[in-house]
Amino acid sequence: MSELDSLIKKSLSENISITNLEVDDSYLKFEESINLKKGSLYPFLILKILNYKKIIFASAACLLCLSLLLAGTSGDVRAAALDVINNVKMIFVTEKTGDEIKIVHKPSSEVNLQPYVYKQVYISDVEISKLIGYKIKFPDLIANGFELQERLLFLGLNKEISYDDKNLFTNKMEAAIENQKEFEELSSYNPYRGTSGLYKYTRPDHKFGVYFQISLWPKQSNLEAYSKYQVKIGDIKGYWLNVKYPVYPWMSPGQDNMTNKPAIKEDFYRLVWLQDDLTFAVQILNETNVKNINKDAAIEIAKEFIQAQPD
Amino acid sequence: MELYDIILRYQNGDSDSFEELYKNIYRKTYGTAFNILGIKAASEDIVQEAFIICYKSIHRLKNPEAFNTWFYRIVVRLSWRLAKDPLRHTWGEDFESQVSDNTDQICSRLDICEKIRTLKIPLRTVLILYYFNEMSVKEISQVLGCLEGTVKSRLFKARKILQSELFPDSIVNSQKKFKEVGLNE
Repeated sequence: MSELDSLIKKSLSENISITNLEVDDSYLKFEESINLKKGSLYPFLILKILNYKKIIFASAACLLCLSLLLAGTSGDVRAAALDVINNVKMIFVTEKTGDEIKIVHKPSSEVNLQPYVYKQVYISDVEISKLIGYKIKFPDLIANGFELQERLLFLGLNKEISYDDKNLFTNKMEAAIENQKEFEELSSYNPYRGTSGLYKYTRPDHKFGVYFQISLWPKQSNLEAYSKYQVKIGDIKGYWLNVKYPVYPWMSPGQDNMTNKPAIKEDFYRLVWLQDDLTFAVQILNETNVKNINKDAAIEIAKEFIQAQPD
Repeated sequence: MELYDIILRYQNGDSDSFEELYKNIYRKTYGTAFNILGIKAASEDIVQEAFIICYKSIHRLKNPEAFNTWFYRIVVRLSWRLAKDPLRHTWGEDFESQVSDNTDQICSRLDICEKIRTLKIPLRTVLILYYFNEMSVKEISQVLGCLEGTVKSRLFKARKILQSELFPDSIVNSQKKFKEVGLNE
């Protein structure tokens, strides 16, 4: 092994300093998570290991615990406890009225949605263009120093599916992001592909970099409703929108846990325009970035991007 | 193989074995996430998420010998998603909190780790899986879902960059380029 190899190996290993106590604490935390997530599974496990008399005792104890929970805890915990008793899965969804977003708690069986999945891809702009059916180029550099970090492809369904069926679709949709055969198998749900480029600018005075995303997807909505937010991107009509969106905790990677009440975030801006039956957007992702990319800067980014596109 | 036995026991119904598995591979799991992300809290989150997924899915793992590649595929994907999502975490510098006694060694180690952290995520991940997780090129290709040639290429590139950063005198005609960049605010 060379000197460099030894250095790398040693540094990565010595970089990790963990005590046995920390491992034990971590396991306890994991055990708590699993026991909370078991929900209706927990009585089943008890049934497996206990005899008849203990089964009755355990069930009664569960019910007592749930009743105490209902009596003395927060609204969210009470809602979760009610779910277990009534065996009805309740989830939190958002409903939009004008510019306002309202959080509503309803049975999952009453919720339909249009899911989407995404992943980072390592293919060229030419290959992305073939997949999305539109010639696109993500410049390596844009707006005086923003560097392209990642290309993303995403896939959505235009047809709504029920929330309870969502997980059945996720694997199929993920497979269909790059695979045309899998994509065509979803045709009855009217799938579409979109793409994003994630850009980062590392400033000497900024600790972590400034980010934005440029995305495009097939046109789906009428933007005329946002006429009061209209701006000009050269000769093109654009819209500068402050987007409110729900942030759920994750249930598993990239999958929102909608049984928990989301927080509504407002620190998300989007400069949107339509071109060739596609929706384009420059998306500025969070508060730190918003302070660094204002509306005028976003318009300049959009202009440069449009100019960089192939004929 | 010890890990293989623990997994088999768990799959055959010994529920205590999962705790043994957890504690057995915790350091490697946490270390993988931390070396990719550089953030303690986020790395612990990833450990928790990865083990929850493992707990739910390990019964479906037909070949326990493939556990390593299967499990670290989960860890790497979780780390990558967190790394690219500025919404999820406030990024912080946590390397300093790993300090122990010897200042020179610490500075040297932190310097190398800092250089590793400046590598792009695909290169950094390959480096970590190779040197920290001690995986073979084939195993790394299975974790990342790419060709062995791609792994070798990334490993070569990562080492080359680190070589030039850490041992600049050994590189002939090396140059650093600086760009003056600015934003109108």
